[in-house]
Amino acid sequence: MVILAVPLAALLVLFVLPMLELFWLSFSSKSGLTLANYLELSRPVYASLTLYTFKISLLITLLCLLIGCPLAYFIARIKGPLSHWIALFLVMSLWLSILTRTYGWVALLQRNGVINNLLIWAGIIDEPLPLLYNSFGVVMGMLHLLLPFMVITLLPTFRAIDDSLIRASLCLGASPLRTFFKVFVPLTLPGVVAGSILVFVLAIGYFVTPAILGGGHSSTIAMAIKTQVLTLVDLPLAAATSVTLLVISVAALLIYEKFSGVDRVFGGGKR
Amino acid sequence: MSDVLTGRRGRLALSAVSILAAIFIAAPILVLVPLAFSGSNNLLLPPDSFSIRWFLNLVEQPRWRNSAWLSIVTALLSAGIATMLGTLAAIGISRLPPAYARIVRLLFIAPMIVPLMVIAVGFYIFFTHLKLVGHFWSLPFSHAVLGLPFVVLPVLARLTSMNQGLEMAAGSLGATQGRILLRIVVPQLYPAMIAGFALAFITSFDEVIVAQFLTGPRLETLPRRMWEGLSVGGLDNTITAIAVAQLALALLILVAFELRIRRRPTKIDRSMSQQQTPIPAPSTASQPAVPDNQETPVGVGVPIRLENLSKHYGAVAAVSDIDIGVEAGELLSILGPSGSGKTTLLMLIAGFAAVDSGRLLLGGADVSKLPPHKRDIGVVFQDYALFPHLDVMENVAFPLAARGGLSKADIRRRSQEALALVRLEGFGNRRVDQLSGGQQQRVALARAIVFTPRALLMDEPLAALDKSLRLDMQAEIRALQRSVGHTTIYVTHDQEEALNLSDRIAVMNHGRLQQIGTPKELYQTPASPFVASFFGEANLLTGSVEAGSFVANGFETRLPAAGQAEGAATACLRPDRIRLAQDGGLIEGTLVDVRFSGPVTRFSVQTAAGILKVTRPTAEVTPSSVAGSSVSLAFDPDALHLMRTTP
Repeated sequence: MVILAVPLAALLVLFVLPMLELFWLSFSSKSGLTLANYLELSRPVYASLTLYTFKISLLITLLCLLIGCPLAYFIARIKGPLSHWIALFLVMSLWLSILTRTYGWVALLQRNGVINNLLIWAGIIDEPLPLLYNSFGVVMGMLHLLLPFMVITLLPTFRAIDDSLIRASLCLGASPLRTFFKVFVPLTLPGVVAGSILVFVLAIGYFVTPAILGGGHSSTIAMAIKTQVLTLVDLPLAAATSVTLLVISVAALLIYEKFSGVDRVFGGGKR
Repeated sequence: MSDVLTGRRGRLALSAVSILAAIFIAAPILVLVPLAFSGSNNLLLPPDSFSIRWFLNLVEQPRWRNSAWLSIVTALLSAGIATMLGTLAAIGISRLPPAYARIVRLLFIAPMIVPLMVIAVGFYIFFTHLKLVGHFWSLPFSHAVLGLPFVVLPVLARLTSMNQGLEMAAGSLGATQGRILLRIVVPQLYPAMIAGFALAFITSFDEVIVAQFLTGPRLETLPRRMWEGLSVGGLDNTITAIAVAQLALALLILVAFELRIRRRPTKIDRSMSQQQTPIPAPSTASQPAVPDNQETPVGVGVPIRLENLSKHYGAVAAVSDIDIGVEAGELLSILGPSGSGKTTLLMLIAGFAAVDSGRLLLGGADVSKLPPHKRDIGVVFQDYALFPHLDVMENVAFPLAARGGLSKADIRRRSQEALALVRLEGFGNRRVDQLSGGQQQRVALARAIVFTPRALLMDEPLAALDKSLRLDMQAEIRALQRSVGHTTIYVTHDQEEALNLSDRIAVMNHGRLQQIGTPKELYQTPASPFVASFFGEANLLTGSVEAGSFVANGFETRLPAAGQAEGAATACLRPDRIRLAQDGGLIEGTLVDVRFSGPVTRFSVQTAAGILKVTRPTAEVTPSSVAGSSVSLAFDPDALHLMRTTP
C-alpha cells in the first residue's frame, strides 16, 4: 500500500527506532552487555516507588469508574440540555493545557486556597487542612485529567445499547434493576474494562501532575526516570526503568485491544 | 427523558452526581479566571486588587513572548505533520486486510499509551546519537509522533463508519481511484481531521518533558517556562493569563461548533420538503416528456450478454454458470430469495467483484476485466449511496465531472435535464439529507442515467420505500426506462415488483439460473417446483404420467396433449384455476380454512392429495362455504402444468 509507506516509515524511524535504542541501552554498560541495570531496579527504593505508583493509579481508576459510570449514563441515556452541556464541557476540558489545570488545583488546594478558606469560613475546620503537596493533591489533579478519558470511552458503549433490548427485557417481566444487571451491565462491560485499562495505563505514566501537586513528596516511576536522566545522568539505568514501564504499558495496550479496540475512545461518541 | 430504565428518583440521583462531577471539572478551570485579573501573585480569592498585568506580561516581557511564539510555531508544525501523516496512515490502514490493519493500527496508537517519560528518554537517546539535541527541528517532529494517535483514531473511526457503498457508487459512476480518494473519501474526513489537528496541537502546546530533554535554554517553550513558574515556591501568575486565553479560545470553538449544529436541517424541514413535491400520478399511457437533445437519444441501450459467469468464494459457488442474454432496451429482472446469488451477480456485472470464469459482453465487447469506472454502466444502489457532502446537483453532476471532457455549462445543463427527467427541477441546491426517501431515490436514478450509460443496473432500488410510493416509483421507472431505452438489469426479491416492471424475469436459486422468460411464461409454465412456488402461489402435486393420464394420490385425470413422457412428475396447479363445486368434481375434500382477502377469498381444502389452496373471486363465494363443510374440487385438465421431477 503506497499510501501507508510514508507515515509508516516516519513512525518506524521516529518512534520504533528510539524505543529499540532504549531497549539496547538498557542492557549495556561500559564493559559490554549486562543485566546490572535491571538488578539495580530490584532495590527496595524502586520496589516501594513501583508499589506507590500502582496503588495511586488503581485508586484513581476506581474513582474514575465510580464517578464516570453514572456521568456517562446520564450523558448517554438521559437526554436534555443539562447532559448536553456537561458533555460539551467534558470534551472542552481536554482542549485545555494540563499545566494550567494543575495550576488551578494549586490555587484551590493550597494552605490559604479557596477550599481551605471556604471550610474555615463555614466553621467546619479551624486550621487549614494540608491538601496540597501530598497524595490527596495528586489524586485530585489526576482524577481531573483522566475522568474525561473514562467518560468518552464509556459514552459510545452506553449509547450503543439498543433501547429495544431494554424494553424487551422489561416486557419479558424483568424489573428495571434486574434489567440493568442482566442486560445493561453485560453489554457495556467491555467498554467499562477498556476505559479502566486506559485510565490505569495513563495514570501510571503521568508525570507533570504528580510532580507538581505531589510537591516532591510522592514519587512515581516516571519521576524517578527523570531524576535518573537529569540528576544522576545514568542513562542505562533510566533506559532499564523505561523499558520496564514500557513493557507494562504495552501489555496493558494488548489487553485493552483484546477487550475492545482503542477506537472506542473516538468511536461513535463524536457526531 | 427517553431512558426507560431509571425512574424519577434514579434520574434525580444521576443528575446530582453529574452536576457534582461537572463542578469538580469546572472548579480548577474557572478559579483561574478571577486570578488572572488579580493585582497580586498570592492566589487569594477574591483578589484584593484587579489588574491586567499578567496578560501584559505575555505580550511585553520578551521571555514570555518568545516562549509563546516558539510554542505556537512548534505546535502548528507538529500538528500539521501529524494530521498529514495520520490521515494517510488511517486511509492506508482502512485498506489493509484486517489482520495487518490490527497490528499497524496498534503501532500508530502506541505513542498515546506508552508513557510520555519513556518516549522522552527514547527521543533523548535517539537525538543525542544524531547530534540534534538542542536543534529546533527535533521538537516539531518528536511532538508530531505524540500527536499521531490523536489524528489516526478519529480519522479511522470516521473511515470505518463511512458508507462503503459511496466508494462503489463513485467507481461505477466513472471516478478513478485517485478521484474517489480526493473527492469522496477525504472531504468526508475533514471534521475528523480538524478534531485530530486540534488534539495534536494541544498535545504539543502542552508538552514539557520531551521539550526539557531535547531543547536547551535557547529554545524555551511556553510549557517549560510554565513548569518553572509552577515549581514550589516560585508560582508565577502569568500562567493564569495563559489559561484564560486558552479557555476563551476553547469557548469560541465550542460556540462555533454549537451554531453549526443548530443550522443543520431538522426533521420538520424534511417532512415539509416531502410535501412540496406531490408524487405525480403514474402515466404509462402518455410518455413522459423527454428533453429533445442529442445526448439522450431514444434507444441508447446496448445488448448485454452474461456468458457462463461463475464466481466462487472459497469452496462455495456464489454464482455458477449463469448464461443470460439481455436485448437492447429490455428490462430484465433478476429474481431470487436472499442468498440466491443475485447480489453477487450484480457485483460481477458492475465490476466490484472479479469473475472466476465466463465473459460479460456489453454491446459485443467483453468488459469483465474492466474496472467499475470504465464499464459505463449506471448503477442505482439499494441505499442510494448519495454523497452526503455534495448537494443534489453536485451528486448528479459527479459522473459527468469524473469523465471529463465537458464544459461546466454543459455539465450543468445535462444535470438539470436529468433532474427534470425525474421531476426534481429546482431541487439542485438541496442537501441530500433534506430530501425524502422517494426524492433521494429519484436523485440516485438521475445520477445513474445522466451520463447516458450503455446499461442500467438497479439493486432493489425501491426496497426502502413504503408500499404506495413503491408502486408509483415502479411505474415511473418503467416509463423512464421505456422512453430513454436503457438496457436495464433489475435485481429484486419481490416477485410482484418483478411482475410489474419486467419484460423478462430470470429466476435464481442457489447461485444457478432456474428459468428465464416473460412473467406470463414463468407463471403458466414454470420449469421447476421452485419457480412454481416462488413465482406466485402454487399447488404442487406429485404423481406420475401413465398412459396419457396424470395419476396422483386420490385422483386421476387425462392430459389434453398426447405424447407426455411416462414416469414420475410434479404437476403445478394454480389456486385460481380450481373451482369449488358441491359434487361431481375431480377431488373430494373438506374445507379446513376460509380466509377473506378482499377481491378474492382463499380456501384450504384437505384432500387425499394433501392440502390444496383454492382462490376464488369473493363475489362468487356462497355463504355455505364454511370450514368443515365437504366440497368437490374441479379443474380443467389443461390447468395442470407438468414438470419432470428431478431425481
